[in-house]
Amino acid sequence: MTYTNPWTTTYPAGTDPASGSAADLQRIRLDVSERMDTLVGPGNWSEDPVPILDDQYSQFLHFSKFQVFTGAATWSVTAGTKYGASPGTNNTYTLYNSVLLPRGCTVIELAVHGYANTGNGPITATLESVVCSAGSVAAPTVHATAVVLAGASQERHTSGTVAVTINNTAATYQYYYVKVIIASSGATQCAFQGVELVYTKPNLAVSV
Amino acid sequence: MTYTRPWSTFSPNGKRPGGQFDDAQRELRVDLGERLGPILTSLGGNWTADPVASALTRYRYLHWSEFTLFANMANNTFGQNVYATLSGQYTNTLINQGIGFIDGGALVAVTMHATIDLPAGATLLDVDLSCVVGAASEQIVGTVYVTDSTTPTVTRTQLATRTFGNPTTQGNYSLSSGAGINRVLDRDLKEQLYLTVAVTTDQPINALTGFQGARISYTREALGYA
Repeated sequence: MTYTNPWTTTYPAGTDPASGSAADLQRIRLDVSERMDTLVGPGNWSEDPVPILDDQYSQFLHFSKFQVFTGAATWSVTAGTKYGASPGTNNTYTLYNSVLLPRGCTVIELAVHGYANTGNGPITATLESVVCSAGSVAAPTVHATAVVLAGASQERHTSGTVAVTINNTAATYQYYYVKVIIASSGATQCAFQGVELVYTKPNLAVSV
Repeated sequence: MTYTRPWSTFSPNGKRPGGQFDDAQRELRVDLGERLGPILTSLGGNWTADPVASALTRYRYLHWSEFTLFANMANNTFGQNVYATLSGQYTNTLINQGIGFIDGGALVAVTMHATIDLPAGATLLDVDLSCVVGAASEQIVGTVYVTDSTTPTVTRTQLATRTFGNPTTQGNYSLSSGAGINRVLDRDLKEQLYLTVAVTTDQPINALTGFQGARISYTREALGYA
């Protein structure tokens, strides 16, 4: 969109008639609203309150970002068209990945993408956090859980609606992470493509 | 908050008496302040302050799982699966919910790396490490580097480092020892900022040393990268 008027600090001129004052003020309002709409979204400057950014977003944590913590296996990417990580031996595996969402964002859903053949699984993903204080670390808090049950087909398995606001308190050392536990009887018996965090951003102050 | 008036680009209308134009201008100031105020507040600023926005300290928390084990691994051949490269070093039990390390009976040093991914133009204020060191001969060294690899001679500059020996009680420690790093990132992003955590352990069975993660403190331009 091209603005109706270029921004100027010399308008109106001192020689302009006072009868144009109403139009001058209207023009200031128009100039301001056109520019603010660029920043907050078309038409949003006229809303009450001004909605800054209230859309929801997804952040996908691909399996390659996870650290394998326990469970011995040779991992492979599943054959065919699943393209997920699959452990090669019968075992239970624990994986971790840091959550880097900005402070103040609110996670509204956790979803794990994958499948598990009958007799395999579950694949359990949990959004957790720990608070590190001087002298001690509290037990993890589990904020959300999503599960691929045994026999579940390939799809997006969701936690349902949750509301987990990433702690914005400066003095709190709160580390958020996703923990995934996979139970598998061997290669291609299950696959895990990754974890999806659906979240909202409260305002312009928060960004990835 | 409900605004005093809806925003209008038709106010004041042409029929408003000339004697009320001071009122009309004040109304415009109120309308702007009501709408811009909350935005500026959310940015750590204040519409009525001079300047309207100052740098708001932001935090990014890197959980230990964000780090990559990259030196002195038990099996550091590319192509090995992740578990094989890590299993010889990690304990299977978390140390104060953080990652701990074991060895085969001798001193072992491992180094973990994590990128500090901040917006161009941001200022890195400091890095705090959440860790504990609980056994003789063990230590953790946290170091922040910036490298410039755009020329044949790669330049690496150490921005902060701190060694945590035994005993270091569980806590959150500034790698600059509180002095601050205060490094402005180049806008062209030719510099790479990263953090290393080097752990030396001498506990073959009961690891007592570990770290939970690192807190990155930074500021960035108010709206430029929102």
